[in-house]
Amino acid sequence: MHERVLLIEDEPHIVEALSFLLTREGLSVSTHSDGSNAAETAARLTPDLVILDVMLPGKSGFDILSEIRGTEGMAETPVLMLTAKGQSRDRAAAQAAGASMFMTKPFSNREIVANIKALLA
Amino acid sequence: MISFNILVSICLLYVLGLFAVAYAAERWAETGRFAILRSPLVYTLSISVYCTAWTFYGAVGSAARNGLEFVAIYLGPTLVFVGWWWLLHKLVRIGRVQRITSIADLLSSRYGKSGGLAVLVTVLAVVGTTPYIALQLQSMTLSFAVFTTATGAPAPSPTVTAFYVAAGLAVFTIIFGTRNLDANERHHGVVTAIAVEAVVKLAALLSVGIFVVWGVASGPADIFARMDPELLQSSQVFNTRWVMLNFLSACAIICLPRMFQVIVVENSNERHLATASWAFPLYLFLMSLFVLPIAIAGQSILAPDANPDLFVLTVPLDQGQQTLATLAFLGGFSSATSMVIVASIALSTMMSNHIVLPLWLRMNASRNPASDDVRDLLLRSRRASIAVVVALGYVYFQFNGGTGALASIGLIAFLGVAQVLPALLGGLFWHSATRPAAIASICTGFFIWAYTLFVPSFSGAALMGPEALASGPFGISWLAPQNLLGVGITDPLVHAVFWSLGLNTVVFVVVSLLTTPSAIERLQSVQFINVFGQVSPRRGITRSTAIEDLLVLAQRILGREEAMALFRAQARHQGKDSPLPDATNELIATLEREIAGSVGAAAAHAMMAQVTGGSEISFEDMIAVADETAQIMEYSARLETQSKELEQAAAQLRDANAKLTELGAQKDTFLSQVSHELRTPMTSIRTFSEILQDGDTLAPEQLNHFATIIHSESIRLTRLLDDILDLSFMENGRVQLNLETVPVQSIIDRALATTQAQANELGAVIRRDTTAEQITLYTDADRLSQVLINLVTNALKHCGTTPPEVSVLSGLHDGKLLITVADNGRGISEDDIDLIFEKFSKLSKKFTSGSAGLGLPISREIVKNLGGTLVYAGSSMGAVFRITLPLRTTETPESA
Amino acid sequence: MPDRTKRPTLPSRPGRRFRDAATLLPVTGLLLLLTPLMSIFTRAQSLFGLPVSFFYVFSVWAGLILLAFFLARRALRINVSK
Repeated sequence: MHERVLLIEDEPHIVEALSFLLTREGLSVSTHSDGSNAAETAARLTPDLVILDVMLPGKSGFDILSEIRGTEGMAETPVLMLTAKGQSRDRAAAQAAGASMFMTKPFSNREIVANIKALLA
Repeated sequence: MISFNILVSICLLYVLGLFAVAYAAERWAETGRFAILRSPLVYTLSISVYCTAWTFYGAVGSAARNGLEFVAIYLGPTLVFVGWWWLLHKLVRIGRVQRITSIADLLSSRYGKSGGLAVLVTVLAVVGTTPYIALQLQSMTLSFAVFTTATGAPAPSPTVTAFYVAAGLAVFTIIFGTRNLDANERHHGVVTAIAVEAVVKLAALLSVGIFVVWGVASGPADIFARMDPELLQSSQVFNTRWVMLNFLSACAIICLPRMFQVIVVENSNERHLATASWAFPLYLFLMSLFVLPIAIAGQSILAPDANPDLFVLTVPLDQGQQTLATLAFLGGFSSATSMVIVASIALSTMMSNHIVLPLWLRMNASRNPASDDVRDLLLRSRRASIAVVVALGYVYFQFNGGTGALASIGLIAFLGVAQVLPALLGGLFWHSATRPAAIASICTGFFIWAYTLFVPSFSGAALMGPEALASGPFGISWLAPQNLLGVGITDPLVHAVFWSLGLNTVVFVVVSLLTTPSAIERLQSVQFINVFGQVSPRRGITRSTAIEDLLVLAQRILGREEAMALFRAQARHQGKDSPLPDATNELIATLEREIAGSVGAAAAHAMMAQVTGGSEISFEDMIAVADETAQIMEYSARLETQSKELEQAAAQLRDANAKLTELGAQKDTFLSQVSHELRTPMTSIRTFSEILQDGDTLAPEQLNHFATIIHSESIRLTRLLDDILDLSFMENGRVQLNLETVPVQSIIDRALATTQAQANELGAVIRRDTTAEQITLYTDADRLSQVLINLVTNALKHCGTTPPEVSVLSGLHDGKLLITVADNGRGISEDDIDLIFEKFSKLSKKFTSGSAGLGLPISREIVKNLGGTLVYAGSSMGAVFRITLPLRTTETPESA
Repeated sequence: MPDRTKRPTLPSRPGRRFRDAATLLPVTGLLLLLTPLMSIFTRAQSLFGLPVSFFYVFSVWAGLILLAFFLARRALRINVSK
């Protein structure tokens, strides 16, 4: 059985790269690029892990995370947050919003894969 | 019988005894053993200087002639002392506070420290006192004569006796009267000697009295039984003359220079006055108790032609009481000497302070008084004055001695000095009293007194013949000296009192009402009249006067030690550490008072004025106060301005700070956004590079695709960095413009050629009107086409309709080139219109990836640098950007 | 030197009474000795062998001194060196 990963990210090239990486690792990847209805998508798919960008058009990643955490059955779902800003302020905000892990772009492929595997284990 | 030589020896011994007492008292004072010297008893006894030889001998004579009338001379002072609370208390307090040295000083000080008034009163005092001193000399020579005639022993003539007596008195007075300068330090030696003399007087008179009542007669009833019934008619006691005598003696106790000296100047403690209030009347009471019995005894046992003025001596002599007679002689001697001593001290103080010193000051007006030893001058002039006063008395005695004129001089002198009374009382109780009034009233009274009483007293003298006396000068009857205006007062004394003091008072009141007191008079009147109130200290204004000058002046007059002590105390009072205080007005006023204690108010004022360079203190005060007020006002105005300026500066700083904070925040935001925009392409590049690194499993197409992504993201990164630099340069106005003359058409051609591929891809329709593009322009063509590329690209990307229609239209409007780029989309939502020109703005509507959001800000900056404007003019019918440009761009572009 | 530190005892009752008495005493003396009242008291010729006028004048005088003595004692006690 393949663990399902939902990737919420607006940069097409990053979506493509992460999809390639995770598929190669045997994960089932769904993608979503718009912030406004990302939480509904997550609620519908009930993935085993969510990769969430902080800066999304339409809605902030922190808001989406709060909504996901408020969704039934997703309170414990691991969420890996990605940001391009890399400020400690964002890290604290992510933790407060209930993120399981926080990574700064650009990241190392090996590292992000290891982190995702750890979160899924 | 006591020979003349023995008598002289007794006198010499007595005087030597006085020397010893005075010397001991001075020593005690120096060693601080003041207990006895400062007892109220000594004070009271010293006041007994009132009882002169005139009263010692003359009272019996008066009683023998006029019965109880002599009592009036003692009752007046009794009433004044019993009522000390009314007047003496105030006088003594003022004397202490204002450092008054004499009655002339008191009046001068009260009336604006007037030198003229002081001189006037001094002259009056000298004129009134000189005959009085002569009277003492006469009584002494007479008493000598009584002894010599009784014994028949050879004796020098009265003139010689008087000369030796006068010389001896002068020496004694000079030695003990001029040891100290400051009247404040007082003449302990003299006062103590006077007190001893008072005891001798009283003891002598009491002894004679007791001898008469119980030795000659057999008790009071017996002695009064021998009395001539005519002597004591009840109806004779109370009459106008009785009242007048009481009044005159009351005046005298205050106004006589020597009485003022002992009561006010020599007073060391106000509490002594309370004791003196009953003790001095008691002394007078005892002095007069046996006067009538002695007079009766004299009349009954001596020959009818015996001089009643000498009964005190002649009665014991007649009874063979040599010792008692000698004691009585010593009593008379005491009375005379004490009067001469105190009177000459008082007069010498007045003469040196009010006549010699002012003259000297005037002669040396140009010189600083501090540069000469005023102290030395004062002492010498005071010694000389004593000699002069005694000499004057002696000369007067030489010319008028032995005549009846001298016998009545006592009361005449009383009225003479009483002329200062209206000015004195007015000065103590009436604020409106003025200096001109004081001078006018004293002059008036003095003149009338001289005309009606003093001059006529020289009976048969050359000054005024008996005819003029009786019928007036030149036969003008209403000017008759003893019957002015034919007022019909028979008693010449009452007549003189009525006219002199009456007119004196009237003149004083009228002139006071007609004149206005000067500022300094007002100041002094408050100090005098409210002496018991809390006189508020004057404001301490630091003057430009050098404190050193004041110190030198103070040292010259007060003495080195005293001056230093005073200045140290003042410095402490001012709260300063250094021994020199500031030259405040308060200090100057204090110093002036202290110096006044040595030289009198007027001279002190003049000296201080010379040092401080001030004319009238009050005027300077006002100027100083006014100046100070002005300065304070100016200062506070300046402070206000400064605080306003500070407020403004603070506000500006706050603004600047807010702007800086805002700029800092903008910079942070900008950097954060730049970081984000850079990290995004870098993420793609890194991720795909790493995939490629471990990518042996990759298909060739995949490999190619990933390489293409890396390439495009690299280009995006480069473009982004270029944009950022561009924007930064343009925002700072440091962009280099390549200006050239170029037709609009070619610029639009270039822009559309660049966007052609994108447009074709989207199937977009680009509209333009080439006929309207035939405008030449002087501008930077590259930059302008860059703006157009941005706008067209944005329109193509964001209009959202298929197919996109973009129109690029140009034309002239108001002499300016107008280019509009419009699309057929939904336009930009109202919320986003404000944001589109912001850097990295993320609109709610997602722009395509690859746009860093810098296109519009850069475009707007380019147009601004070209001297034009770029605005959004769209609506829901489509987005419209409008460029307005001058046809000729200047080298230095306007900045908005 | 006089004690300058002592402040006047202001209108305390003994102070006021003292002041009234101190004011009245010379007035009394004035009335008894310097007005025609004197003639009323000295109408008789002799008293205890002494002439009445002599006796009267010296008695009033002594009385004034005595009163002044008590007043002065009071003044010193209540310290009216105002």
